[in-house]
Amino acid sequence: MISADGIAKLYSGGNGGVRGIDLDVKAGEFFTLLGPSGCGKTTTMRMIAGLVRPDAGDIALAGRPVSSAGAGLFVPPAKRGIGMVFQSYAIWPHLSVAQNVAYPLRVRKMRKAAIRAKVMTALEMVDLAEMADRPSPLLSGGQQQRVALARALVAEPSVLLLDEPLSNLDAALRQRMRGWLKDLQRELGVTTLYVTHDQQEALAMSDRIAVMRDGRVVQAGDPLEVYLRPRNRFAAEFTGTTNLVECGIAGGAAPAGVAEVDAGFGRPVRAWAGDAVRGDKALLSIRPEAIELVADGNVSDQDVFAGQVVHRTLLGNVTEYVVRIGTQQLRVSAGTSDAPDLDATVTLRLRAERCMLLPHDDPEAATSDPATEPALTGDAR
Amino acid sequence: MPTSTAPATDRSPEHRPAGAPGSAPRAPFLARLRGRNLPVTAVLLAILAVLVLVPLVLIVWQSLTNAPPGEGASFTFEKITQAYGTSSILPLIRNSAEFAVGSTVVAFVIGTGLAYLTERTNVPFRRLAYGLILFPLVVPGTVTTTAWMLLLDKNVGLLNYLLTLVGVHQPIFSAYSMWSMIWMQGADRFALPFLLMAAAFRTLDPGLEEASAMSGASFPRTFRTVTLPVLRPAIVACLLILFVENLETFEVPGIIGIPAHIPVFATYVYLLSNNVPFDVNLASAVSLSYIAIALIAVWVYYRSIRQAERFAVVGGKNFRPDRLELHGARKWVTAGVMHLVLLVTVVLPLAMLVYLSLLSYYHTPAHGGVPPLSLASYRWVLDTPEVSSAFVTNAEVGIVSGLAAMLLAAVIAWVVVRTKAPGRRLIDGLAFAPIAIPGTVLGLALAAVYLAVPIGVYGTIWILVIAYVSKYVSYAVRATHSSLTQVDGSLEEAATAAGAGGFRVFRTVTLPLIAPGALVAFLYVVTLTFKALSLPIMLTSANATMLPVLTYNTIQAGNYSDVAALGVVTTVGLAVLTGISALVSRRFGVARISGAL
Repeated sequence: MISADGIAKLYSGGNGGVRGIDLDVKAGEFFTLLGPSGCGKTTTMRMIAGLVRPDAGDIALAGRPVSSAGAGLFVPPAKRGIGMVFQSYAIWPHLSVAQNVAYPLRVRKMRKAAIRAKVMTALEMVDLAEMADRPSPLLSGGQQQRVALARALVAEPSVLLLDEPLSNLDAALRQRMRGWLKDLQRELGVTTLYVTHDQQEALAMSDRIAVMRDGRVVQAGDPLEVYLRPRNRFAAEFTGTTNLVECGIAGGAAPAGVAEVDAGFGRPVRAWAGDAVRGDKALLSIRPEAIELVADGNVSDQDVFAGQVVHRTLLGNVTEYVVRIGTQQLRVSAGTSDAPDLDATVTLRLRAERCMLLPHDDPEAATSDPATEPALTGDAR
Repeated sequence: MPTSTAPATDRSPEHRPAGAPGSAPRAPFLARLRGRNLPVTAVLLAILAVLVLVPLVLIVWQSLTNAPPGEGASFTFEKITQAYGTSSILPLIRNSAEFAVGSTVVAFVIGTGLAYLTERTNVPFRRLAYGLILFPLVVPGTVTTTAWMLLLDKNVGLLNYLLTLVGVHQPIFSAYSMWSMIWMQGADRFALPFLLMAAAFRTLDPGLEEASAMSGASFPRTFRTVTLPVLRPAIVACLLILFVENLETFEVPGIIGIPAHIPVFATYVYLLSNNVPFDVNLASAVSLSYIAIALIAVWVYYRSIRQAERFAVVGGKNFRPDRLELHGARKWVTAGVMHLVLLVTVVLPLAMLVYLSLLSYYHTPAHGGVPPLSLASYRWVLDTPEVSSAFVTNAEVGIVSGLAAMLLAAVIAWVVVRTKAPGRRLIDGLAFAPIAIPGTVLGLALAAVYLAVPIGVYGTIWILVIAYVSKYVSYAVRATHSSLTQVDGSLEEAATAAGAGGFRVFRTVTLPLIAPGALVAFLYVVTLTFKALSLPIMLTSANATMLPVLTYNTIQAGNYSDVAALGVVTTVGLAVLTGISALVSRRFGVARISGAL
């Protein structure tokens, strides 16, 4: 539905530029661009919207080319049939709620009665039907955001773009809106491109995510896939907390698959190495919740290690604690009722499939050449 | 035996002596001032009443009597009838309206167009444009008008002469018409709408227009249905303030309008004052409608500023100030057009000015030859005692007025922003009102007041100081006001919590933080005294001649080259002053004054 091929945009300041991105978002899919500020995710979205003209690359929507830097093609945003929700909501203060939502339909010269009907349907969809004739500045942030959504959807676009729509809401509202937004998208089946810096949002709502940094996609794929099997340090750290330990690969070069590494735990650890790992040094990534607390574990088991609790932090439903194993300290999280006491000796299981080996020196993707970066069409394995 | 009711070692907070360690800090000077603010407010109200209300009351009084105060005046409607009974008031109103509205439209269109290009597009050479746009702020209007007069004159104007060189022998331009007056004023005054609208564009969420584009609207439709309506409060405010300024301005109507027999209110009052005997009552009666128009405009302006707050950015934050990207040929053509406009409105009169200053007297070049250049006019500027005396007087008056205005403004801003004193809204309003009093009328009123009240101010520089302070305190208040609101109250509270007493807090925290704003206000007022003609023209005397009046007299005498040299020297001086002011602003982050208006 949305396909972008090698799109790039360079800014003289250096920030926010995009250095060659491919996208292939399928019909009905909820695709998220996840990354820190300045990584180029909003610029990418704005190129697809037509608000920014790419310096390179091609963009097509629903099979129809809308932008090609090489061929000099550029369809203006007004003609792309896209619905967009801006981070600032961009609700027109001089128009009422209904007038805001009706605007795209008036532009399309629909009849008044038909407009009114569609507007009310859209407002009912976002639970704001009773505010229809209210002046828009009187609405709260959350309400304005829903008006913006209704306005974006009222003309039944083929593509919906959402630019950090939840970032200005308070935490509780954000959580509620997350679920509500995802349900709405699923019900309507509209192809959605979502931009956020919040990893929880990305993981919770998306069918697929692309982690971005400095204008490039660092890893893309199913959210769970990216979370469980990050291919590099940045993807690992940006999608959630993780322990990172420098390790040496026993036996020299790392084969793809399970490898034994020396991470300073006293004994080798089994870990999963992707093909991005080169040479004999790597970073071992283990998520705190992936380290299992085993009661009276048997340390002769290859995956079980003994350690001592040196720190404990109660966070409510989980407790984070720091365990010293060998020369290293690992953060572990467990349910509060299971968490051991301070200074206790514990046995932990580090299962190979939860221990990822990441490239040691290159924090980004395995290759730095965007041309060989495979298109994100499916499994990134 | 009586015992004290308080326990011997009561350590509860209520019984601890103030100032002892562990007790709450003594109520600081500032807080106590907030409580005991009646004397300050009373003094401020008294000062403002004298400065603002007395002249107004006097004008009304004089229009209802038939002789100056103190000379056996009796109540009568005769002067009002005389002013408004005949149809001769109609051309006055019509001319004033035409001139004010026309020049407002010209200045607004040029200023807003330039603001849009520099703020919302990626047109190149923006820095150069900024410099050119703002430069007229340091050039006195008398001088620019002279330059235009000699450019546009039908018979001896330079432009018509240049046209003959390319074969056009019919004079196209003329200097003494309403159109040329409108052009001269509009081309000189677009810096203010530029600054105001640029500020408005900067705070306009580009998402509003982008959302319109995403909804399928074309650029013209977006402009009509989104951009204009959202900007309406800023546009209205801008138009009104421009209108009021153009209504009271004296330079163009005086230098061009009088010889062209196109009287407007500003010049009419002046011309009446040149009659012997001066019918001050008739002048006051005429001034009534003059003030009324201005007051209405300012009232609407004041209200529209309140309404603008409703359209302040609602909803999310962090919008990026995106620019419309012009590509290729369009970019360069736009830049070309922009600088062509600036060439015609700013560079042309300035070039004429410099050229003029280097001629010994004005004449069009003889066929085929450039007239000989000479520095005679500059020598005149440097050697003539009247000129140096005018510079000195102007500097004196400027500095004293600036200091007085700044001080008064600081106290007013303090009372309005930091205290909850009763009557502070009245103080704010009174300080703002003089914007509505046209300069010539204020001059007229003050002359009458201090003629009647013999405190030895009439005919000295002090009446000028009073006039400038009255008129420009509102500008100074705006600048200091915005500077003060930027100083968060918590900064002072932190100093108090650290143990500093009230006055020390003011001296070490507040003052340094508002000093840049106060300095900018001071320099601005000084600059205004070197430029404005409408105020001093009615108050000038032998021992108190201001530079603009001297310039005007030199124009009347026909010594245009001398006028140009005077203008160049003044401009250089004002440019230096403004440069200092800009450096201070940038270094200390002071909001621009006209943006703060």
